[in-house]
Amino acid sequence: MMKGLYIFFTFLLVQCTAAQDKYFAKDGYISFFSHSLVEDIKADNNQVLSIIDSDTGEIAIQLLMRSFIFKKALMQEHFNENYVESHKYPKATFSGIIVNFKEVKEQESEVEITGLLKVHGKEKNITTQAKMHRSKDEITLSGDFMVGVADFDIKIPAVVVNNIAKNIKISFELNHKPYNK
Amino acid sequence: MKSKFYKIFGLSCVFLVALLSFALWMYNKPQVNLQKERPDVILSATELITEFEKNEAEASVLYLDKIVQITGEINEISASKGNSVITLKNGSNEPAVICQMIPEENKRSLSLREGQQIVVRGICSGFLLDVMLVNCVIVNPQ
Repeated sequence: MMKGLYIFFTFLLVQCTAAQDKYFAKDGYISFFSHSLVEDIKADNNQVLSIIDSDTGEIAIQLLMRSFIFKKALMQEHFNENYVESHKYPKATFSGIIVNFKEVKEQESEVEITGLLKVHGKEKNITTQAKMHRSKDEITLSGDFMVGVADFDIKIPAVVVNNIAKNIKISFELNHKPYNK
Repeated sequence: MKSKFYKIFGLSCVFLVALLSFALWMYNKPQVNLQKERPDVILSATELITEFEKNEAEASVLYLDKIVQITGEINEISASKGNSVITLKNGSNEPAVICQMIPEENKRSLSLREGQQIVVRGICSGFLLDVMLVNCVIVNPQ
């Protein structure tokens, strides 16, 4: 599957250099939020790469786990070293499709995105609603969805089990521009 | 006998409080400001990009999570969610180095111009289509 993803990405990238119908976001925003009785934890990533093929509605997203910024330095260290093991799994990816992308003609719309999310070496199918703003020189997607920590085989030590929610809210805001180089 | 007990008890109390406050301080420690830190590596934006393009795995071992100080020409200054982002170019081609600045550098980032040579210090978070740096500060111009 890993190979499949890479081929998909390479394919998209190769196509991008030729065609004008690809939309790119290099500084997309994804954050996660964990709410528990003990504390709220939030981390922001402003370096998300996302590519939309406006012919097919396919979308490919990649981000670096180390680009998540926490308020507390120690939390960030633990996140990378112990929980998501960034040295082994430096990237998270999503590859999927914006359902009915072609049919949507309005500037502002609710769309469904479905695809495969890969974090910490584990894959899970995700389907979520998103707000789409679409014009000739911009496609913006924003929304949020929940994921279970356990689904990605992320182990939380017993000491902090009450500090970290079982389900984490992922928010995204991806502002794509047409590729023209 | 009693005074010895109080002495030990008092000392342990002081020790415990010190330990607790140290733990609390560690726990709440904010992100380091790289302006006050020494860089682990100093190189040019082009060199850094070349290394990642040549062999991502090897470059990752060398630069990931390290404080990297790079010199390069500004290609673009933009903003993402209220933080400025400076892109340093590699000659005329892609890939580039994308530097996510800390909020304290917003004002200074705005005073910079495209095409200007600058020195940026940041933590290397990896390589997607470009080399990514986070927690960046501007070292030069001061």
